[in-house]
Amino acid sequence: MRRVKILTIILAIVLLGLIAFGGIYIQTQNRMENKVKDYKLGRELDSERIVELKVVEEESEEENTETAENSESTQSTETTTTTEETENSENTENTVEKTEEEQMEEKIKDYETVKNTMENRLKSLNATDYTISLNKADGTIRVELPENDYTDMYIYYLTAESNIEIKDKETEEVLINNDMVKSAKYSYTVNNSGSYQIHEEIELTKEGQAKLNEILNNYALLQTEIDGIEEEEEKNNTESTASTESTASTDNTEATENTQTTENTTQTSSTESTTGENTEPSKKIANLVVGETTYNVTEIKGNKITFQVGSQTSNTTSVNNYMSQAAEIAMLKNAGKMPVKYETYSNRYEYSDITKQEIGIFALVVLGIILVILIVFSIIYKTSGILASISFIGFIALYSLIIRYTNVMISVEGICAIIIILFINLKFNQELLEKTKKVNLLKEALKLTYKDIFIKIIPVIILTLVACLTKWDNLSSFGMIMFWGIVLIAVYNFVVTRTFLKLKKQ
Amino acid sequence: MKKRDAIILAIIMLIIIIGIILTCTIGFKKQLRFSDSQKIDIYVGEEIDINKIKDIANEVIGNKNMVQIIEIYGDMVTIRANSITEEQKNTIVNKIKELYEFEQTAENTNVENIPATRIRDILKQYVLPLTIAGAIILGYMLITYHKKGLVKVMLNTILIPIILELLLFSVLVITRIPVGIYTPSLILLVLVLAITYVVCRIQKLPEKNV
Repeated sequence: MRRVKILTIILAIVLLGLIAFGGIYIQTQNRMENKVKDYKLGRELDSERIVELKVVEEESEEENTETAENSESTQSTETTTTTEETENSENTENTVEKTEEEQMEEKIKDYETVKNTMENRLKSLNATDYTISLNKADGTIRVELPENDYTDMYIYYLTAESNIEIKDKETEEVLINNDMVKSAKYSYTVNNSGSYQIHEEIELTKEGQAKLNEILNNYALLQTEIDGIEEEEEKNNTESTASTESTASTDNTEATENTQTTENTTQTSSTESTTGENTEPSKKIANLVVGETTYNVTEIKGNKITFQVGSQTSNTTSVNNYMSQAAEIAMLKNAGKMPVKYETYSNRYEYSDITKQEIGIFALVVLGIILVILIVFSIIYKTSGILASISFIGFIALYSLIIRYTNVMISVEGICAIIIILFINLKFNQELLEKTKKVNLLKEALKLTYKDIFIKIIPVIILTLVACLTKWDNLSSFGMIMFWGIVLIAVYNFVVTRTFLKLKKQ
Repeated sequence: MKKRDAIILAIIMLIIIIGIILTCTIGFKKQLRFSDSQKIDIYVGEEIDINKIKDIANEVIGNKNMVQIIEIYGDMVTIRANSITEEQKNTIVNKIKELYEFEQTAENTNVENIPATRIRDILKQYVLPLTIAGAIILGYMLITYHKKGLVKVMLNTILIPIILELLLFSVLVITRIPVGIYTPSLILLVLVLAITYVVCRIQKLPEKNV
């Protein structure tokens, strides 16, 4: 009976091994398809999207022309001052060189600012894995991203622009520019009828606040004020048309009613005078514009301006749209400045240079080392060692299935976690066998082994849990694989290895 | 401290000092994937056998190269190396032309520059989580093993992982092993080994008499 039980467990492990390492093939549409889930590989091991972003040439041309103009101007000054001593011309050449160096430094600073802004944008969008590199010579930025449903969105936001400006309504003159806006955040309010209103609040810099206080003397920015002015204008327009109509009628009736003419003319002259006052309103209108869209300003408090995004609505789709619009404005503003304009030069899908064959070879090497250790176990601990080794093979098979079915992504760090778990399990088996040999009481030996190993790895468990909670794909992969491995070591050895050793003892 | 431990510590310190000097002078060697490099893209128009292209790249440029299949249909290949000369480019394109029929010629193939990725950009995402984990582990160690002496426990928990990580970086810079996608895994591996070693070491310490 004991042998039958051992044999049954061994057969179960063999079956598990066949499923994990071979797969389950079922005929589907005239071809054999493996029904066992495939591994989910990370960016470095599978494929990624590579985006190259280059500085928009228009700007660089402008800069070139500017530098050319500068050099021309310096040349012209040099020609006019030919009578001056040669020392002076040498000095001017040095200053030209210096300014070129300074310009180059400034350019590099701008490129780095753009790079940081792009990184911040990716962070705000919860991108979980990316690499950004900058070519300081020409400003080219290379972004490597994992291929998933959000990749195109990330790429769009890398170069997206959303300038928050306050403009004169009539002349389109920029009164407060994007640089004067420090940050933006969005919120929403709900009224009793369940309608939502999305608000965006922008905070101005000191310079921006000073400018705002200055423009508020001459401009109306609040929507209530603007509405008042517009209403007044409309009223005046209608009144002026009405007055012209009344003057026309007085012309017609002039001949017949002489006594009334004087009254009418005084009336028209009085309306003319009032329209004359209203054609030059006390305040001009200023609009808050984001990109090309104008928004209604609802509140100005100190250096904070609040405006409405969309209208009040209870429609969920509209609310979501307005909310994402507000979130986009806030994200683009808070991520930082884009002093240089970039455009996507290339956007392509690249397979990893690490082939599946190379990963397979590496896995075989690790398994080879483990096999050697298991053979050593079998030699030292004899039957118990052989049974523990068989149990270990079952552990690897079950672990590989768990990694696949828990949808854990395998990165290079994940592979490292697999190796760590395999060696922790080896250590567990070795300790268990050693203690069983010494104590000769399986229950006691098992208790001691669990206590000994798990107390030692508590800091590793802490590291694992922190890694699990991170948003960074590679570290999260390490954490998740470690987590499932530690859980499996605890459960599997209690169920399988203990049973094996118990049956052997009997 | 035993004499053997003192010798080991002295050797480790020496390696770390050499490592710091080398890092300040010549810096780390980076994996091709993260260093300043050049690439050529060749559109073949049919499914490519990466091994054949890899053989050609190895023959023309040397073993330090990266061959990657581009685009979902796998009909385009990019070859990346530290530098690719005009002659090498022409030879590669012509050799691939012997294997596959395609329109692209050596003349209309451009050598493009790829910027380097800074090591701090590769590693910075690990700093915060590892610091948080380190702080929690330190708290746990101080609470669990306070009877062994708070200062001793604290010093062991902080210094051993730091020294071992510094040793890892020193070995990397001295042996000129390139820093790349395997480096974070090595850091994590060393960290796991270090904290397990710290626990074993502290467990062996005698309890302080109150």
